[in-house]
Amino acid sequence: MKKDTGGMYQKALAEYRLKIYFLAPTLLVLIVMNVFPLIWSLGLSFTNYSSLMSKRIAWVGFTNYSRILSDPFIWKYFQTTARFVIIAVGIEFLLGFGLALLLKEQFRGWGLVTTLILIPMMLSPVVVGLFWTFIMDANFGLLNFLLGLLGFKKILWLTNPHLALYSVAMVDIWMWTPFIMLISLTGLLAIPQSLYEAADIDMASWWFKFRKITLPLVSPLLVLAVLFRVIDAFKMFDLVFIMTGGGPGDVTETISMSLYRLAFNKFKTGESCAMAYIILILIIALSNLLIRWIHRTKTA
Amino acid sequence: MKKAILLGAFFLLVLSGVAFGEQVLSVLSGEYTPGHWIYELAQQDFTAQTGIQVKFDFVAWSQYTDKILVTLSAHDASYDIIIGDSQLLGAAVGGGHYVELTDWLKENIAFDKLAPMPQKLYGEYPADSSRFYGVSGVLDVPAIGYRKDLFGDPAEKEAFRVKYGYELGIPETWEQLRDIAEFFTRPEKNLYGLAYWPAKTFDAVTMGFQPVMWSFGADYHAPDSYEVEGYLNNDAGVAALEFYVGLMKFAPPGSENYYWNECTQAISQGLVAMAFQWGSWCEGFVNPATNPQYYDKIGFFPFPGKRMEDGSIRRFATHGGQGLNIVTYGKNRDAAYAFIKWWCSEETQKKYMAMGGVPILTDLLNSPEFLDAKPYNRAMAEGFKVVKDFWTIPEYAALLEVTQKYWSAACAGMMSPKEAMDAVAKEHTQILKEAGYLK
Amino acid sequence: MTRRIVKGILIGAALLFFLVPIYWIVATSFKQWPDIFAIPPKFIFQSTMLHYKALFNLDLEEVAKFGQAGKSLFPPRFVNSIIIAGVSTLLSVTLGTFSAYAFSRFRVKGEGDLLFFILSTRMLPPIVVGIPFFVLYRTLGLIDTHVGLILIYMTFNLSFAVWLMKGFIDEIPKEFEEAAMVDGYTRWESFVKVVLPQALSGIAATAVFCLITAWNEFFFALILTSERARTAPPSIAAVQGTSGINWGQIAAGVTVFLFPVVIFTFLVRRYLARGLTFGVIKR
Repeated sequence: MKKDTGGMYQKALAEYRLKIYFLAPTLLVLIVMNVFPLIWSLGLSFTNYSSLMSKRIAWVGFTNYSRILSDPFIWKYFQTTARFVIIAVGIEFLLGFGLALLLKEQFRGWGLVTTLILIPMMLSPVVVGLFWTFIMDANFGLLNFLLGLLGFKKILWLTNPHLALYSVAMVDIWMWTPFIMLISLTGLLAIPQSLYEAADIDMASWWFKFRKITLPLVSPLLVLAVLFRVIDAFKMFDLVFIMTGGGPGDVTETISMSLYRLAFNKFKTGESCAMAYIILILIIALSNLLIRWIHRTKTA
Repeated sequence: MKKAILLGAFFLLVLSGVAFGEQVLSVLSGEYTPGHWIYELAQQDFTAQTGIQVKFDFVAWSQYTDKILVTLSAHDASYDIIIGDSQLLGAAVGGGHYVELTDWLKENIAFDKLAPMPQKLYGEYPADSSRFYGVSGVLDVPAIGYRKDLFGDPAEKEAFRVKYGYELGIPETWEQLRDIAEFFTRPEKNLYGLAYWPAKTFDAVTMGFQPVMWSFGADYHAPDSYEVEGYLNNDAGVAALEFYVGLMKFAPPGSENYYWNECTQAISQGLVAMAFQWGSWCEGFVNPATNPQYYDKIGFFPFPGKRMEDGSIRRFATHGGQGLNIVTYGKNRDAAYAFIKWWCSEETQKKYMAMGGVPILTDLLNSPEFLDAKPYNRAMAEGFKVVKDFWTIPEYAALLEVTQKYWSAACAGMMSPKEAMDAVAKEHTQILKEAGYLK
Repeated sequence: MTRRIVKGILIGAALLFFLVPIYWIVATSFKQWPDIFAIPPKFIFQSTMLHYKALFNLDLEEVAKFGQAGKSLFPPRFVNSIIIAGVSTLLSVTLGTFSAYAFSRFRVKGEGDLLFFILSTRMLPPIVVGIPFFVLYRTLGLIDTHVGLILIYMTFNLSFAVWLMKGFIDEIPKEFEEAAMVDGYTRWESFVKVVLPQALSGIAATAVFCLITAWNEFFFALILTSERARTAPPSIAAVQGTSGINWGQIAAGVTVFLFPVVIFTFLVRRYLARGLTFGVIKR
């Protein structure tokens, strides 16, 4: 009896040690590399610091925050960003998950097809932006040429103010649908085949199997994929910067484009840190919603 | 554990110190041909003369400002010289990042030989203060390239005379440019009059529009104060923007996002009869390798102007290019001085000119060697005489953001020219008030 | 049968959508300069190796005719990219798997907050943390070093790796390890021998994502390096000569740069598809 508790204790200690060994390096790296920039920029967000200009830094309290929150343009850019995120991530989700369902069952050349579909994601956003500008050119672009073969008129993808944001979103969709596809696919393939076999015995319909087996088991990963896409799409900068510069006018001006101008063109470091924190809080709120959803899907 | 980290950090510090210890002059430049020319010349010539090694870091234009900003604001010693945009002068001088050269220049180089206008624009801050923080580096003004074969065609000339009542030739005024652009706009043949700069990207629409605005008689602010209302959005300003937006009718469809690269493409596609271009990118119009169909059919003329009542023509050219600035935090300041001295010498400038560069000295700029070296050099030389700059105060970026937003919106037909000019004036006034230039 | 045909058509359409632009980039890398801008776009063209020669500095004289001054910096930076992206991926996947396992299987105090904190790295736009990182790195002497970039990419990817791996490990029934431990395995042994093989598909997917992010990172590669440790992305898209953007050479750079990631993904594809091998009903 005594010996047994000793063994239990030993085992618990070993487990505890393992836990520390497993967690410590990650947390250490993140604390060193993360906390410093986070605190630094939080501190600056309450000052008038300008990275290029001011030699003396003054404390300005919440001025930066109230200034940004009362700027009507910033609200407009938030709306633009929200529209972009909803359209891009929404379609990426539908297409990505749909593709994963199509690719769930393996066939000859499956590995090749999957790898090929992943290629858009492997390019750097700057390159994607450059070449899509090329492809979307009104006069010599590939897209208008192909549509022309089908009898369409010239479409001004990037210069029509009503269309420009959707054109950029389309490029984002092209680039990141594979991301959702891959995560959903790995999730789908991890579902034990026996569950479907059991359902088959019960003569369950396709829809029933999808709703009762596929969806609940794959949704935590699916929501996670969407979470990462939302975070990244919210911060999306390179595509707009290269493809439209936020134009024409400001119809494609996203919030991170605006943040970029504040930090790197207007040198208002303090204000840009405040704006970054506002964005951070928004993203945190959004992610929290999504993470709750993950938990819900798990317990359901 | 703590000790180990400290020790490690110290070790790394020592290592990096050793690596940075060698005497190499380090220069930051945008990624463009003139930068590579300077590098090549420095390696051959400067190193041979002084024994100082030179290294250049070429940065893509889309990240150029980011890189400079981070380097300067972190007081980084990686670069001794920055080949920097003139708009950055205000901010960099205000922050103490550039070394003042006023006295040194007068003592060490033949200051009077530098072309005065460019030198003021690349080196002087604040404007008209006679204090210098840089020297002319890569000089640049835009010109307009045109199709000599179309302009010289007898049938076209005849048709043009019948339609407009005067000879088809190089336009002197903006109205003539408009007529020619209209004349050559033939969508059924996929030919358009003009490729110009209406884009939101970078500073495109502002760089293209401001010479029109100036020549029409408007300006960003009053001559002796920062008063904007009534100077920018007066009748002349609105008429200028109406004119500029009106040119869109003669530009290729979907060209609202054109800047310099797109203009080169349009010329090599034979899509347009005329195209705006920065002097330092004009080579793309006449390079047989990259423009095999039209390279020998392209001529250049300076930006037109507005005819005044006395019959003279009021012209302006947008100021471009970069200056050489010494960074306060650099470790090789003597080498940096030596480099600038070398750069400003006539000998170096002659060699640079021979490579294809634009010399920074008045005598060389007016010399036939330069004027005849490239087909666009005469147009550029004309431009340098009437060059004028946008703001150099640290608020330039905020002001530029506003002009880019509204003028590109006007070009895309999203608002009327009047609305756009009024909106710019209103927001500029607000920015200048906040910064304390205006009460 | 019709279902299979419909499926085939849909997959074919998806392939077209994703691959035609890729084909266009690769084709551009073999086109002669004027053909790149041809109206209408050219599908049949006389190919040239010029852009690849330019990329690897093989025919400087010919390249100079196209207004391209200076040497291509691609080769050394390509090597840097392989080292930096490779090592950082290895590290973030390893550390990420360990901590994901800990979060999944052990009771960790304040788990939710910790996980969220881990995620917050990814939420701040890099623009904002650029300057503090620069200052931190200069103090540590990490500017323009391989270690510096590896560290930053590892950090950036760790949040992702932890979350994604936790998602995958959560899916692996605990009963497997418990059974193994009843059989006398230690926790570590059961982790290595039971959990890891089950998690391979997740590890493969995570590694692919981490590699891609590190491989293409742009901003920090530019501001934290100048010469020795700079990776390829900041220079690939920057190729300009007197004639403007050198599309051919950019396309060639992109094509060459794409190869290692595509090959890596192709090699791990069977792990991606492996999934769980045991058929136990979850929980």
